[in-house]
Amino acid sequence: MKKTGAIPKIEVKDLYKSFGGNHVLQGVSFQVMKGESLVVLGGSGSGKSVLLKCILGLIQPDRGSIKIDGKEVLSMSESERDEVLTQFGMLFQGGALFDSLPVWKNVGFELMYTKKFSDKKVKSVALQKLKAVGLGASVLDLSPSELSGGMQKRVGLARAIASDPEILFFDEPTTGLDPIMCGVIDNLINKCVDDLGATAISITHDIESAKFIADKIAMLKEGKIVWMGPAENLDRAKNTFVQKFITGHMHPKRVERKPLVAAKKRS
Amino acid sequence: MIVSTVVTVGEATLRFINTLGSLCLFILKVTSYCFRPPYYWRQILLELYKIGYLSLPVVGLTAIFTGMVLALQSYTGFSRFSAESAIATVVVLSITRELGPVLGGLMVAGRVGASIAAEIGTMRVTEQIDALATLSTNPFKYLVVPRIIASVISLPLLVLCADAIGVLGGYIVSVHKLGFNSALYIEQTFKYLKAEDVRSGLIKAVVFGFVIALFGCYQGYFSKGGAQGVGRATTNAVVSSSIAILILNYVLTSILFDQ
Repeated sequence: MKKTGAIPKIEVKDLYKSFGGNHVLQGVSFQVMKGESLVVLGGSGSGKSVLLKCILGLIQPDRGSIKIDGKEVLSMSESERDEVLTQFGMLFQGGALFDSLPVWKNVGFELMYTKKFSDKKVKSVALQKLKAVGLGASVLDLSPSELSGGMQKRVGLARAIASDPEILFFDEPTTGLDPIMCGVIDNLINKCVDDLGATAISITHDIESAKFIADKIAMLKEGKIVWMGPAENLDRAKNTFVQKFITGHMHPKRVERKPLVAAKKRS
Repeated sequence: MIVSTVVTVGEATLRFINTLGSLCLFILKVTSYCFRPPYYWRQILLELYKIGYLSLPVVGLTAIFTGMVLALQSYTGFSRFSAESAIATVVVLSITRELGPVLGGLMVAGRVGASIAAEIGTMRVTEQIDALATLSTNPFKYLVVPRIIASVISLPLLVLCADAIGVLGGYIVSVHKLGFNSALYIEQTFKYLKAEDVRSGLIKAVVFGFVIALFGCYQGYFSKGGAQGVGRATTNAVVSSSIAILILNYVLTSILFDQ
């Protein structure tokens, strides 16, 4: 995860997006250099997912600029945009695996339909990518519904890296997983990003995970980036919201729970 | 009171216009993609199997009982005018021009429209449609176009089968229950049947096929709000496509009436 090159791989400038009266993004700007890993931290509803979807072109922003390799993507034609999308790989929060397809077709989906590989070759690449995320041949023919949550994340990760993308997005990669599996997924993310030399943007509200996978961290609050800096500086950040976020003291006054009735009676 | 009524009516009108505009854009987009490669042939074949082949039993059952009831009811009326010989003609014309495409369309709308809306709706709420886009696959071309093409091809074939099965139903009742002569009934069936009768039914079937897949895909594609949203999309798909079939049936009958 080393920074190289002068033109940012991803550059977002003054991005705005509202849904009716709900102003989700209010002038978000940042740059991610090639090979760099940015983690966007923020509470629920702070606009993290909308930001990723705007960069991917799944949501059209109201105004602003998004550049990939220095090229403005918002003014691109549909075919040019599709071409840019071939550089992306994404791990979705819930895995977003296709239930109608077995694991190997999920992993090799892009190779099968976009790159027109034969079934045999797709299966062999799928196996290779599954091994890279710690899964074996035994899951190849299983359906996504037969996998545990952690395995689904791994398959989702294998799918994201299947076509060796230059840019990787991770949407809440450790949400809903136990601490051991969180560590496994974080390690896999670092390994995949390093092996591919990819540029990565992850969104999460898991501080430990963020510090482990990030070169740079941005804190999003109410659609604005309130703090951005190297991951190692997060703990020393002077921003009040960042401090509250990392210490977990979001409530002005902690409300203690009442003792149990049974415990009262015993005493 | 008056102000709130005006606000409610105004909001409903705006919502209706918004939906209509969004549906028109969806139709334009779908139609344009239907004529632009790449085509996902595996998906088209799979949908032909699901929409066409798997709908055959329900369409066949509907057709045979409709033909049987039609023969019985026609006999009740026509026997009062000593016009029993017209029963075979009435059955075949009613089935081919009207009942085959309309009842077949309604049955397929219930079975296939609901399934399309539920499947695409679930894919929407579980981010599978977004995942398609990140895998360099246009969701319209992969999900919507194959279903539209398969439905437009399947419906006329299903209606042809429904025509044959419906006429057979009428024949069974007329010959075995009402005592008609078998050869005479068959002769009467084909005597007044013209190619336009079958053709008009098939034209309706093509339109109904498009409408069923269109509403299923549209409702599913724009569904939101988790399981409840998918349920609503499924209901809306069946209701809207059924109503559209009945309205378009009148429009098409009026157009084809002069021919």
